[in-house]
Amino acid sequence: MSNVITAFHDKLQDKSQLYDNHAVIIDSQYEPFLITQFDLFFLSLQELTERLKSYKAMIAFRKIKRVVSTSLLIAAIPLSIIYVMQTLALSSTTLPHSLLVLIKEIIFLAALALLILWHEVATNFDAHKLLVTYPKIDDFLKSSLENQGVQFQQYLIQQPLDYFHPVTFDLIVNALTTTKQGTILDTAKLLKTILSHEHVIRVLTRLDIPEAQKRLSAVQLTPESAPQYDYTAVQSFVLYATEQAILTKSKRVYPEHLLLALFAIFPVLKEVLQEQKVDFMTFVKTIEWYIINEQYQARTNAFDISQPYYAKGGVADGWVKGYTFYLDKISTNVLEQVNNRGGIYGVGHTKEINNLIGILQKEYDANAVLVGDPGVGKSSIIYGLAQRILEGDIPPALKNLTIKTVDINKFLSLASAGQGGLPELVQKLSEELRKQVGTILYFDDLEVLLSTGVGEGTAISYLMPLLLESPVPIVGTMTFAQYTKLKERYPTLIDAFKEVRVDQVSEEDTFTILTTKIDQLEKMHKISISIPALKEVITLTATYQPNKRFPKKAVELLEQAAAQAANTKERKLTRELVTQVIQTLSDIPVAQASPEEAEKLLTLEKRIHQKYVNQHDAVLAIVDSLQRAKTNIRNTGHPFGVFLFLGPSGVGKTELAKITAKEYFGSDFSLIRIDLSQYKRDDDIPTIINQLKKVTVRPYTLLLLDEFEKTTPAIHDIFMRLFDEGIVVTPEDETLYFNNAIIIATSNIGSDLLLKTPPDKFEEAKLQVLDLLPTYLKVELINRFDKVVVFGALSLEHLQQIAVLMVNELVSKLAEQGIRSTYTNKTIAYIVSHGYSPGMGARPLRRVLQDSLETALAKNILQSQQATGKNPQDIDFDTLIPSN
Amino acid sequence: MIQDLRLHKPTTLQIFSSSIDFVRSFFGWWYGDIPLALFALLRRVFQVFNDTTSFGVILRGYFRPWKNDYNIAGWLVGMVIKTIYLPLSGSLFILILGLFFALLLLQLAVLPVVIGLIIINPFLAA
Repeated sequence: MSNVITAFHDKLQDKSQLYDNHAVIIDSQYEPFLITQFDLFFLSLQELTERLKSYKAMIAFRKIKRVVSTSLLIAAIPLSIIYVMQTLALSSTTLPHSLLVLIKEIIFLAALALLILWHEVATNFDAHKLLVTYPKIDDFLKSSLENQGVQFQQYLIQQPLDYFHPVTFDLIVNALTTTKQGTILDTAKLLKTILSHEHVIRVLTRLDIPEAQKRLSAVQLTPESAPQYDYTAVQSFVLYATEQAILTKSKRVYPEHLLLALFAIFPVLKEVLQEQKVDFMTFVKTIEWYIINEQYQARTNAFDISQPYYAKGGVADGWVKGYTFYLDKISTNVLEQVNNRGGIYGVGHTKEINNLIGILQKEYDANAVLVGDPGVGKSSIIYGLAQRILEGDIPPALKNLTIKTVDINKFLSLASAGQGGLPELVQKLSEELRKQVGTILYFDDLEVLLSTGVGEGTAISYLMPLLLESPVPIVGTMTFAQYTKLKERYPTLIDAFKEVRVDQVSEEDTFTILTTKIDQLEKMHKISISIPALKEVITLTATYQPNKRFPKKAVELLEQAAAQAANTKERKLTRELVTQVIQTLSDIPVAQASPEEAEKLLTLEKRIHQKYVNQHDAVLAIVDSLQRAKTNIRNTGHPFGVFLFLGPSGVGKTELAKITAKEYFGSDFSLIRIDLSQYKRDDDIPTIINQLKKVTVRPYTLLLLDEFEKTTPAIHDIFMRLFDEGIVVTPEDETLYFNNAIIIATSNIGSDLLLKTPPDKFEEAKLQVLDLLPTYLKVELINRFDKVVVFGALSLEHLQQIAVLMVNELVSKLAEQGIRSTYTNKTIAYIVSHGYSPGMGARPLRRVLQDSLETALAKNILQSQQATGKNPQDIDFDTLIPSN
Repeated sequence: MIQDLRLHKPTTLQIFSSSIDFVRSFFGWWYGDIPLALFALLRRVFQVFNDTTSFGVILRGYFRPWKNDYNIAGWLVGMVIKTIYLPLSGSLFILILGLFFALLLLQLAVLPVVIGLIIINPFLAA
């Protein structure tokens, strides 16, 4: 629900109606208005006409007033000097009395002019009134409006033009043209002038689309997209611009709000943004960011009465609180930190902060533990709470509170420095805390403290009484895994803390958090950050770092990319740079690949076949899945592809996986290989999970599950969710993500049948093998494979091709050592004839190559080295192979 | 056309009528907006003053011992320090208030009138 509603009043029928299509109302029968929870914004046609009529006269008068006042002031300066000199008789010439009176008159007129100019500055350089932040409108008001039940007299009538910055109104008036027929509003002219306003230019620059200004003002301005209206249309423009100002939390209606109103009225303008790869929401958010940022900057002036004042805690505040000699040594005041650092904290955690406030208001057991995954922003909740205390946005019971964050390392080192160790420090702290009023103790990573020491000397044994009967509220943070573990071990202690679950923040909130970092990072690295780069940070971390949490993963990437940007010539953080940085960090070739990457994908099939013979279906399945993944049209909540390769031994099932890993993923290291025939007991589950954990190091991987059918059903169950959602949850509650992986399971199911089948009956045998599958695997598991590929037995022709590939590989290896080698069909025929073994596939070929050719080759090289001290220059394989 | 609106060059009469609006606006601003803004500024000055000197906090905790140390010495030290501190900071409060009203009265309330009177004085004398 929004915090403002657009509606109109039908004068003829005396009815009000909601209106959200942002069309321009020019019929005087309908009066548009805006309604918020308290105020009703309405500009009557009569008032508008009066304002416009007097506008030109007012401008002319203002010009005269400024010229006269300034001239008087300039003249008064030398005249004042002359007057003083005459009065004090410092000048030899005496002026006539009448002239002196005239000079005196001018000086006092100048004094009056000064007041007039002051009035001018105070009243004409800013809006007459400032907008407030309106709460969300409740459903009741909306339904009341729909059912004609709104008590309009309860609302304060506001004149929208009072909230207009003078420049904004000037822009509207300048777009009005008087013709013989009357006065018209030329929206094309209005758009052009708005686009050249500095506020709009800075937004387009920040979005990294400065050329959009030209595109918006030139290409899209057709009579259809930006027509001319009767001047009464100004009523609608004024209201829509005010609506946009309220929505973007602005205090004044600026030219950018008028631009947003134009975007709402003419959706065709949004297409220009789309052409520039910027969505409208990002455009609005950028405008909002500038507004909020400026308001935030204004807060630093304590005497600016347009800004709220936030108490900082006075010099004598500590007098009424107890001595905290030891506590001061190990803690920092969070409120002071927030105040000194600036920034906005707790974004996206309003629910959690409110929960925490609820717990802290309790008279007893006001302790809380913030439980959440690493990186979800648990600490930011405490900082957010501190900010709420500073801003006074907190229940009276918690006002004037101080939050002290205990540094656990300092705590432990202070304990070890003292003679009495930890027990003595805990006792002293307890005494100090008993005299404390209005303090909250905060322990980041509480479990570190609780798990220090062993046996009777554990910190927890000494801290237990302090934590259980603390005179001040204690707040700590823990991860889910640690919380569960500690709850089992110390149920009484954990029960004394109310659990506040901290969820991952949304992408939208993460975007807001990232915008709060812009100023700091730009100043630190002397760079400029474009808003689309922030969007890219979110999109890329969401896709390629699923094992990490928002907002931390996005903030980390932004900080790293900003540091990189400082090393570039342009000193600009763009989308492209963000992509490069995540590519390095995650070792993932990111989507929207470079031309080289696209080339690599398009030629993948060809390149695999250069090293791999036959099995076109399987190669195609893998290549297709990788191509889908790279163009971002795949489902990101699923691995790149999940395949089951069936076939006899040695037909190339594992070999294909290895070649793919090398050709596409970069190296054999990208392959996680688990031979499931080694795990035939349910007790092996932890070992398999440990193997799967390798994905945290290399998320962009190929998971090869060899001999898939030869393990237990319980182990198969681990793979159910992995094949479906690309997720495995470990017993420690850790989630492993395989959504950037290809999963290939291999199996020999139906091998016997396939081996006995002649090549022309392969298709029938394939169907029979597929029918056999449910005997070995659960149907729901089979259904989770994207494709089941049956590998046919290799023919003699295939074996010959494989032998050629193997020998060529050997040729390349020798070439690297400077040895030129040659061979003919004789070598190939020898390898194939000696390596052909029905049912064994291509494996025996490797053995023959090794036993005959490679051994003879090694001997030849050694003999040459013995004789000449060098490698042989030329080798003919045909001469090395045995003659029979 | 619903209402007639012509945005032509303004006539002398229109400009003159704007000057009347200006006089009204000027005095409304001088005797309305400025004192209100000054009162708001005064309020802010007090807020900052109270926050910086902890006047309110000390006053509320006047009968509490020094640093919450509940013994005779704590009570005694607390009372003595606060008894010295509060009147000192309180008088600063009063000084600011006094200065404010003096400024308001002397400068704002009479300034344009005084200037006006001085300007017309020679004509009156004549």
